[in-house]
Amino acid sequence: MKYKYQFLLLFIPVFLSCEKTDFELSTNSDDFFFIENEGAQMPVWVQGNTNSKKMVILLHGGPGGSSFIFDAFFEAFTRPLEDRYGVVYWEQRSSGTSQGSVDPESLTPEQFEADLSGLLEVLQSQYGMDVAYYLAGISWGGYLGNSWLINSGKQDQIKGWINIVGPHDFKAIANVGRDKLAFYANQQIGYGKEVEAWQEIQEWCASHPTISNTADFLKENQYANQADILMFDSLDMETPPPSLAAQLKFAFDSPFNSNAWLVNLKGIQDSNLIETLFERPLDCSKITIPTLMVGGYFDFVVPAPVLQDQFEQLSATEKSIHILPRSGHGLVGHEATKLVSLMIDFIDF
Amino acid sequence: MRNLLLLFLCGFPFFGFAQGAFNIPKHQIGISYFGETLLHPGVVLSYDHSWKSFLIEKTSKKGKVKDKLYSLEYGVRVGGYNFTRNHTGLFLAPILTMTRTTPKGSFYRMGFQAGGIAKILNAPVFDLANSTSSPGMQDRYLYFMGGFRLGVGKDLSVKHPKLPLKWQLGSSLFFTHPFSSSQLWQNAIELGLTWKIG
Repeated sequence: MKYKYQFLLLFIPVFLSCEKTDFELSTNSDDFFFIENEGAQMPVWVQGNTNSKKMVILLHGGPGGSSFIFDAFFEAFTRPLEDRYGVVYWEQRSSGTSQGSVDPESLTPEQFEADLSGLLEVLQSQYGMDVAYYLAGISWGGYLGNSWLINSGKQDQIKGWINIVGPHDFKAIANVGRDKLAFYANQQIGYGKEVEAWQEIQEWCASHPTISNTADFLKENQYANQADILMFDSLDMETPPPSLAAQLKFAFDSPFNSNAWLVNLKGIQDSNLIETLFERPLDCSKITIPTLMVGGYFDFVVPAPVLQDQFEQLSATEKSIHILPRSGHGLVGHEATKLVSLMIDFIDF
Repeated sequence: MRNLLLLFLCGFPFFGFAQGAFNIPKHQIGISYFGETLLHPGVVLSYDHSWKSFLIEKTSKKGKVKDKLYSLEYGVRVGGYNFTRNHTGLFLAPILTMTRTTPKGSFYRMGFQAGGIAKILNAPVFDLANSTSSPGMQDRYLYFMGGFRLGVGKDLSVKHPKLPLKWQLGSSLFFTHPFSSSQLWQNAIELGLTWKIG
């Protein structure tokens, strides 16, 4: 009788295993965990060579995008990085496949920054303070990275900052982007290319000489993304469109949840985040750590002149900017090899 | 005029309490595969209690009588599924079901379910408000769950009276609330068996 319930002890390891963490440095890490903050449960997937003691924290685009998409569909970008470094795929709040009940009021740049600070603390506690952490932001992730470096007071904990088509001033990208759209609309109509689509853009630009509100910004952003596709002939497409099998695998056999992504995106759209960002330019002169900036010559969303302006603001003594000649806003898919090469040069040397 | 009345009466369904060819069980218990988005595997156990049933006799123009049994059942469903590296869902939901059965045993059913679902994140969770150095225990979240269940199947006891079984194939379309700033709709495919008791 004394030992009647002793068999229950057998189950204890099963329950404890749910809470166990054994994130060890490895040449082929595959660690998965969540960070929870202010109602959001955000997945974090650490892959690749963490044994290198160099980790790249990927800040996805959007707001509302997904880092898991890069892992699944942009292998030319991610695999060479994973071979050399640990890559941290983090799904931001109300983005990608993150979960939780998120108050729309919490969708502020400050809250995203607080989440990133927390993520860095978790990584440091799990993988060590001696690991060199790099931030790599893509588009909105570039803005978030800039903002975090400026405001968190923790930029000394980051070894280097890689900004890929990330803006610092949404009003500037809207207006410079509008001018670029107008220029290329005239040019492409003159060449007789995609005339109907470019005429619509031309007419819209003519009726909107200045963009001063978020409704016009969102429309300009829509046309800018469309221009990326219209200029297809001028772009390298290293990353082919994902196969149906890859898409099905991603949808049904990965941690990703397509329905959750749509709901999360709606959460972003219903919030005031875009309005806030439009009136929140950043002063990048406060960024002092080594910085690599990469843009696309045919990027209409975050045009190269805005990146150049941002670059000149940086106070970092080690800084460089590269505008890839055959890339648009989606340069991670366009000239992935060049981008990765620049990143490796920046991180290793 | 008389022909019109006849035509009307032929098409008019006659209601009556279910008897005869239909073997109505008092209780039913079931077990089904529960595949959230088909591939996230799980199991659901169900219990249904027969509440009301009525027979509808419909006579065709050719004078052929067709019986359909409509039954209303209430019950409860307990189940779970595992979405690797996302969450494990454990739910308990009372359900109200309407089933239409033919004399040959084919049936389809529609139900409305509402209850609760616990979502357990199946990876370590670092609660930034508490500790960033060790995962916490706040990794279980309760949500309201509501939605529909549709299914088709066959009562095997019609052909094999000693086999009080039904098979069924169906779909559960349900939402969990709150999710993000609204709710999340989920779908599950169900395939399983039901035992008729009593």
